[in-house]
Amino acid sequence: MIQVLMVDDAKSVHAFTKNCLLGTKVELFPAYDGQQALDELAKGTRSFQLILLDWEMPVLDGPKTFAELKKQNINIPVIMMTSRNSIEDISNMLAAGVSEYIMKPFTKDILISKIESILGTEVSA
Amino acid sequence: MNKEQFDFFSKYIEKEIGIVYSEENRFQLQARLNDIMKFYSLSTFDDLYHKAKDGISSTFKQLLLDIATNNETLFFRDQKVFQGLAKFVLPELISSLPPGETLKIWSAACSFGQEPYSIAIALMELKKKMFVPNFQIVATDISSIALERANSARYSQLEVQRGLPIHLLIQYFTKDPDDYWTLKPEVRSSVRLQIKNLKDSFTDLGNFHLIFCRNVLIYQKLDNKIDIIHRLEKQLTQKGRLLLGSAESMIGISDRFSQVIREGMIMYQSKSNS
Repeated sequence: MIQVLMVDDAKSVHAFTKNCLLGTKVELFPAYDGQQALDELAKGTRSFQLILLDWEMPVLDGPKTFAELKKQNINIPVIMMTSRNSIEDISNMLAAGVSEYIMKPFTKDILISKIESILGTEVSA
Repeated sequence: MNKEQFDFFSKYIEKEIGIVYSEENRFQLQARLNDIMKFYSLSTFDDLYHKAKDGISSTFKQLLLDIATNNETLFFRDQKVFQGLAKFVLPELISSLPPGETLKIWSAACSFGQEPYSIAIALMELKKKMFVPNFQIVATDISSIALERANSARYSQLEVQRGLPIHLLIQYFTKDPDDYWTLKPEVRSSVRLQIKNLKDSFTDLGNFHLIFCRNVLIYQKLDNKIDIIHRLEKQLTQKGRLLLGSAESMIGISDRFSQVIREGMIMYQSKSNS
């Protein structure tokens, strides 16, 4: 299974994403803010191949979380998954080094194709 | 929709454009015909049938052809094709062109424009790495509604997320206040849109170095497939290449082509031109 860390403060987004990935090779692990995600990564018990990262979250938001990942030299590919869709916001995050960007709302086919393009492998079981 | 009505519409569509609606697609056709009922403010399917039986006007005919064609598509459809295009097909094609010759590409059945615009973007990207001569992409479709949408080059946020990597989106599109995205004029202007029924002559279009005719033939009857393929062959330049959809092949259709397979990408070249 491909272990993916999903960081979003909205339970509904977790539920929708999980549903989209049912029956695929992706196993989702939830975090509800950036700090929880960093704590999960620090445990080192999982070998995450991808992080799905929301922008606006309590405690630690997406951009700050991403900056912290870079600082800690954690080079797991990150797909931003957010409703912020201005060219400026997208450009800034791409310049910072995120691999892809999904604008909410999204659909199952978009989620899967973006994950596949970053991982370079099919995830459908 | 009863059998008589289904037969009437499916036979008409088959005669006009060659697309076959079999019995198992009855509900699909009915759902699409409902859109025409709404257009004419008709309340029952019988009303629509009687209107059609009284004589199909040019508007009615265009509506029928629009709904009968499958306009679902995405940007950069089939990664292998677009990777191969950028890596070796276009570079080798460009290197072999005599100086001053325009590179000509045809996207047959272009639907809402995602395929020809993806090709245009691929060429723009290639320009960053090598010399790219003048190019012209001709994009045709039978549906005037599809061409109108392709002409607007404006796509919803969901549409631009289908197949289009984010760095290309922000480079080649502008974002509208209503969350739609519009292709920049410099890309849009490299594509010439034209209405064309694949059952009609192609000779007015000229010759092409590359022809994309993907996911179109699967909807056609065998004799139509053969006819279209053989007429496409005549529009290819010497050493021109034809691309079909990933689920399509020449098996049982034509032996006039040789298959060229490279890095998982399949192309066809006319034996008489090679």
